[in-house]
Amino acid sequence: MTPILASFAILLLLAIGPVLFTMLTGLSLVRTHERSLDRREGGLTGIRLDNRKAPDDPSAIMDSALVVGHVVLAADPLSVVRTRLRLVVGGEARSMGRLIRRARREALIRLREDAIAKGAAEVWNVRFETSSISRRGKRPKAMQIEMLVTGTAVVRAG
Amino acid sequence: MMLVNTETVPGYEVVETLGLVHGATTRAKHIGRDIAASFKNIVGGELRGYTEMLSDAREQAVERMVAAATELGADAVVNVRFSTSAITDGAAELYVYGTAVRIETGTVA
Repeated sequence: MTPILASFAILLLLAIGPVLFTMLTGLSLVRTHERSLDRREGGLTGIRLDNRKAPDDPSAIMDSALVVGHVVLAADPLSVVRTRLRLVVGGEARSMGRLIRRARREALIRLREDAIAKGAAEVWNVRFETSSISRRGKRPKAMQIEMLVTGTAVVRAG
Repeated sequence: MMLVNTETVPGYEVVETLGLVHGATTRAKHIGRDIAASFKNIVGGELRGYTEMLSDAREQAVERMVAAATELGADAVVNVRFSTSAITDGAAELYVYGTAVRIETGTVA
């Protein structure tokens, strides 16, 4: 009886082991990304973001340029499963919200880095745009999201 | 050529509006990138291949818009907007548009 039980347990482990492994790896990658976002955002507090159309104070403006932040993210497998379940019962899909927030933060960091590279300390008219690039129809594909942020970096004298 | 997504170029004055300019490119993702992305899809995370591809494509669309604006004799393109539309499975059109203008330098308030 015991060897049968043991072999059954091994088989079960072999079957769900890889799934569990990819899920945990995915989860740890999400955590790593969020920590990296926290860290990099801390170093970018000097950049002022504003989504109004034009600078309120037009004095001493030297230069302005379009800046862009862009990222494509894929959901971790646990989030995919949770979202599929969520689609059955409805309600707030928190794990997808988490993915979108990560994409938005990453894109904003890249936008601010672009602004710094252009010597600016402020970005105006910040706009977010998302698009889904995953395959439509056919079998359900992994959930992917593209996040694009644009703005106008303004460089001031002094 | 100055590109901004504000309605005027901050610190400058628009002296002449030359009209709408746009640039577009339609890109299909290739199988190599798809394979790399499918591996990444297993655990999730950034799909660098796609990020790169879309950035490159967007750059090309911007170049085409700038060429159109240059032809009109513009100094800047204001109110720049990006738009993406999925054409079919695995192909997308990246579109960028804005208003070509002539600006006067040295009119900083």
